[in-house]
This record gives sequence, structure tokens and C-alpha cells, in this order.
Amino acid sequence: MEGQDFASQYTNIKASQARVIILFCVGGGHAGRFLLGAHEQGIGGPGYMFIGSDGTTRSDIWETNEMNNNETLRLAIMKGFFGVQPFVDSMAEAYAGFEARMRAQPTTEGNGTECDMETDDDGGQLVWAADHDDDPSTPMECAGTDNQIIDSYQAYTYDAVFAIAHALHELIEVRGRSEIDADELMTALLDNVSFAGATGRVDFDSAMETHGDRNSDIAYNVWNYQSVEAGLVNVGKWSPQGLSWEQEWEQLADFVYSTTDNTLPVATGPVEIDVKVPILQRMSDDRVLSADECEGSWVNDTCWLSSQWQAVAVAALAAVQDFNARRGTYTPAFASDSVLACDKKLQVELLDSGSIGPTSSQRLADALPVDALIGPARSASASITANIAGMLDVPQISYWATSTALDDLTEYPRFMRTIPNDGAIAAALCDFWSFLGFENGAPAPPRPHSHSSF
Amino acid sequence: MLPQSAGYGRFLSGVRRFAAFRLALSEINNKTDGIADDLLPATQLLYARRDSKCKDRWGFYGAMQLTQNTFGGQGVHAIVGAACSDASLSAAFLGTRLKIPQVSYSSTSGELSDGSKYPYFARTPPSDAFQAFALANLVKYQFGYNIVATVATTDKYGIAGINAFHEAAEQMGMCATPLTCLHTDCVRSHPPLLCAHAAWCWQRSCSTWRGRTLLRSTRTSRRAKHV
Repeated sequence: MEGQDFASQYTNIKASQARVIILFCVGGGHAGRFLLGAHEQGIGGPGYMFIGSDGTTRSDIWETNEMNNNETLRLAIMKGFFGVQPFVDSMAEAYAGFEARMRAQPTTEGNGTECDMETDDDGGQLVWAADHDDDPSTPMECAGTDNQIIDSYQAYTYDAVFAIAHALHELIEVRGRSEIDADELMTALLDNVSFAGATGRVDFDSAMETHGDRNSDIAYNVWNYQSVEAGLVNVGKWSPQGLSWEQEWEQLADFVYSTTDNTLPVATGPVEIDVKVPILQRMSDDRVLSADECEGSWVNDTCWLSSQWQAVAVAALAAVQDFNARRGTYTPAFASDSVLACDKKLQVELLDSGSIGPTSSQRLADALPVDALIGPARSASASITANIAGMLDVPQISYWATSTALDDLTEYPRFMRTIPNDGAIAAALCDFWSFLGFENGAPAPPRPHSHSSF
Repeated sequence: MLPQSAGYGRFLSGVRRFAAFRLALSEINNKTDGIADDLLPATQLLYARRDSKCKDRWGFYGAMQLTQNTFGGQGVHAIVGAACSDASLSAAFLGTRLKIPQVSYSSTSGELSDGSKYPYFARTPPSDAFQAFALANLVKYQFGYNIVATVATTDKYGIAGINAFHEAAEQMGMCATPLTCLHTDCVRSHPPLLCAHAAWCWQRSCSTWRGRTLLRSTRTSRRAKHV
């Protein structure tokens, strides 16, 4: 899966609106890479809930990628993650003994260059060092463990060995066999083996459709990623023995969700529609043809206007960022209920009007198709772009152009101005959308020139 | 059999499990340590180890080596492993023909429950039939959700597991959005990444969607259509 591009998966999930996503992945590494890319695509974080299967609910979700060394990123992606693992009763005597003896084992990690070179009983295979790259010419990589971190499947491994030992005991000690017959060993395993293991009572099913499955002490722990410090926390236990969830569920700790106020995420989000809104703004003045006439900076045969003009553009871009984040710090309207309920996200592009009509219209033509247009400043450039906007049926909002000629609804049917503040622009965009006949979140584009994201 | 390496420079958690395997073996073989001293009092267990890499072909290859080549050609009496369901299934496939009892410590795919196919296979963790039910219960009754998206890896664990989840979810009246698949092996030349799809269930009735059909089409054709 390394190098695999999940673009189509992310598109699919985005289109589904789902905010609750079940991950049934064979390893935490796969899930981790998926979550990392999803985060970059805006899937995940506050308002989302990922729920992992046991193969997914492991620390290697973040240990196998850049989340390992970036705690901020890890928290942003992992906070509010839930997952299950087969239950291991860590309070049970058999488990406690197993865990203590496991921890008492010496480390087999080696020192990085000199590995523990122990081999298996057959004499051939290194057990704590590995040819990690399938290339015999490169040095071995040490592959031991410090024995201090215990995962639940170690207890299941421990019990698997004991299960076979108990079946062999039945054949050798109880039935007095000197040869091991595979069929008899298998029958003994299914019919005679039952012991108190580290994972609880271990015995097996012999029915044809559930053959060899675990029979007793089946339950699942639910884990919840809560913080960088706490990591995955065991928040509850489910045992399939009761008649209802209430009977079967035992909550062990409070939940931590991805949301900032720790409320339960909603199942589906609104359809988020990208609205392409270029901002036409005077950055240079194409009427100026020489450095002598230029009151700003003459660079590359262009007269760039003073920074106060660029500040207007920066203010517009900052407003768009705040609008998309629904941040009301400077413009409270951006975090108002009506804007929070708005399903539009602005995609802006700053277009330099060159202060004249021809440049404005050329830049606008290059940016087509657009959903709305902000600017430009001068009435000279506003009028021609207002013609184009009217022709394309694209709403245009200018914040500066004052010519009364622009009031002509026949000439400029989609031109608006005298907008008191940026918040009103934002709210107006959503309102205007509805006015033009868009249903909230409707995926079908009624206009022929609507761009492809609809 | 344990996954020692993943084939591209990363060790899998098989190492920790192997440490638990070694502990169990040494405790069984030690008749005076106070732990299971009466178990197999006159028998010493020997082991050989192979790397199953969490992959079907390596599970098969490992089982073949363990049964045919180890201990001077005598082979082994039983296999512990593998970790991943893909590797366990291919080993169990071989084990059926060679009659080798196998006990896995973490292969949970529901496919391994079929005694007519894998009569020599058993496992200590519960089957994913339970896990899928646990997840569906958690989603529906703990959180109260009726719509979820599902993502799975395209190995036996992921596909069988997510299908079991879809079935459980459907029984509880929940809807799952199209299954999104992640291929687990970049070496194979796979068909397009999105390997199955279903109806948009919030636009249509839930009853138009069938997880079972979805799985069948996925199983019979890995080349299933993509949206």
C-alpha cells in the first residue's frame, strides 16, 4: 500500500457526507496512512469519528508515519478515535501472572548494530534479527523487543501454545500415545482442551460453521484516543451475553470526542460546495507606461501600486479564510447561525485588474468559470466586467466602484455594491445562491457553466 | 509462524507475540518453575520459526517449509500462527491437505470458521462475527448513529470483517455508505482502488442495499466496478 494514492477513496467519502467512518484495516499502518491523507483532504478532525476494528486499533496507527514525531498532528487526527480489541481481563490472576513474567523477560532488542543472534530449535532461523530488505548483502536489522509493552494478542499467543500443549498432553499422558496422529490431535484440541488461560477460559467450538472458533469468555474492550499523554484509553467493555446494549455494555471511563466542546459528532455533515469567487483588485496600473509616471514601484515594466492597495487584497483574503473556517473573531457574522448553516466554501483567486477594463476582462476570462465575482475597485474596470458578469449570470459585488452608471439594471443586471462589511458579503453569497434557485446542498447544477465540483 | 517483516523495511508486531510464544514454550518445557509443571511432564517442545509477513503467499510458503523441511525433513506436529488472516488461510489450505493442526493467535476473519474447508484450523481470539456485531452495537446503541461510511483493506480480514459489519448493521436498520477499499499490497497490479459500491442509502430506502450481494460481487470479482 506504500505509495498508494487514496484520491478516489477520499472523494467517495467526501461525497457520502458521512462523518462517522468505520475502519476495518489489517494493520494500524494501513489505517494510519489513510487517516493522514484523509486529514490533508479535510476528512477528520473536529466533528468526525473514526471507529477501528481490532486490526486497526493499535499504536502503530501513529507510530509508522509522521504522526509519530508530530504530536500536534497526531492529536488533530487521533483525538476522538474509537476502536475495539478482543477483551483480555487484565485483573484476572492468570493474566496478571503472564504479564508480570512477560515484563521480567530480558530485552532482545540488541544495541542497533549487534543483534541478539539466537536461532530457532531447528538451527536455521534468526529469531531476533531480520533481513529487513530481502537483500543479504545489507546488514541484519535487530528485531527484538523490550518486553515492557504488552499488547493483548501476546496473551492470545501465549494461550495458543498452551492449547496445543494441552492437546498433546491428552494424547501422550492420558491416552498413552507414542506417536502423534494429526486427526487425533485436532479432535483432542476441539473436544478435550479447556483451561484457564491468560485470556480467560480457552476452549474451542467443533460445529462445522464455527469450527475451531473460541467458545468462552468472548468480549471486546472499547478504546478511545483521548490525548497525546493518555493515548488509547480503555473506556468500556462489551460482552455479547445480555438482551440489550445496556446489559451488555460496561462503561469504564468518560469518552473524548473530536469536537471542541466534546459533544457527540453528528452522523453526516452538510454537503460542502466550493464556490469559486475571484477577487478583482488593483495591484498594478496598466495606464502607467514609464517609471517616471509610476507612483508605486516600477518592476518588470509594470507599475505596482503602493502597499495600501495590496492591503485591501490581503484583507479580502483574510476575510475569506475566516469565512471558510466560520471564525467570528473579527467579523462576528462569520460564526453566526446562518453562516454556520451555510454549506458554501469560498475558493478565491486574486486577479490583478491592472486598473483598466481590458486587463480586468482578460483576467476574468482566464478565471472562468466562476460562481461569483468580488470587485473590481475602479468603475472603468467594473463596468466591462459587470457586462460580462451580467452575460454569464454571475453575481458581482464591488466594494469600491462608485459610478452611478453601474446602477443600470439593464446593462449590469448582476452588479451589486455599497456592501457595509465583509460579513454581509459572505452572508449575501449564501443568500444569493438560494435566490438563484439553488436548494441547500442540492448536488445538481442548474446552470450550464457551473464548474465541475457540483 | 509470525510476521517478522512486512517486506518493505518495517517490522510487524509479530516480534512481541513471538516473545510471548517463547515464554509459553519455556514455561511448558521447564518442569520446576511452578508454572504448568504437570503439563507434558516428560516432553520437551521444540520449535522452528518462519516469517509469514502478513501475506498469503508467505503463509503458504512458511507452512510448506515448516511441514516439509524442518527438523531434518520430519516437519512439525502443529503450527502456531499465523497472525494475519490472509497468511493463516493459505497455511490452513495447505494444512488441510497435509493434515497439520494449526492454532492462530490473531487471525479473526470469519472465513476461517468454515470447518468443511479448514478442518485443522483453530484460534484463541474470537471470530470477527462477534467483532462486527460489537462494532455495529457500539455505533447504533452507544452513539445512536444510523449512517456510517466504511473503509476496509482488501485482504481476507478486511473484506470479510467489513461485510460482517454491513450485515450486522443492516439487521439493526442502519445504513452504510459505499464501501471504500484500500489494497494491502502495492506490488500486485490491482484494478482500480475503489472495488465495490452500493446505493446511496440516505437517498434511497435501506432495503435496496444488500451487503451480502456486495461481498459476493467483491469476492467473485476483484475487478468489480468502480464509481
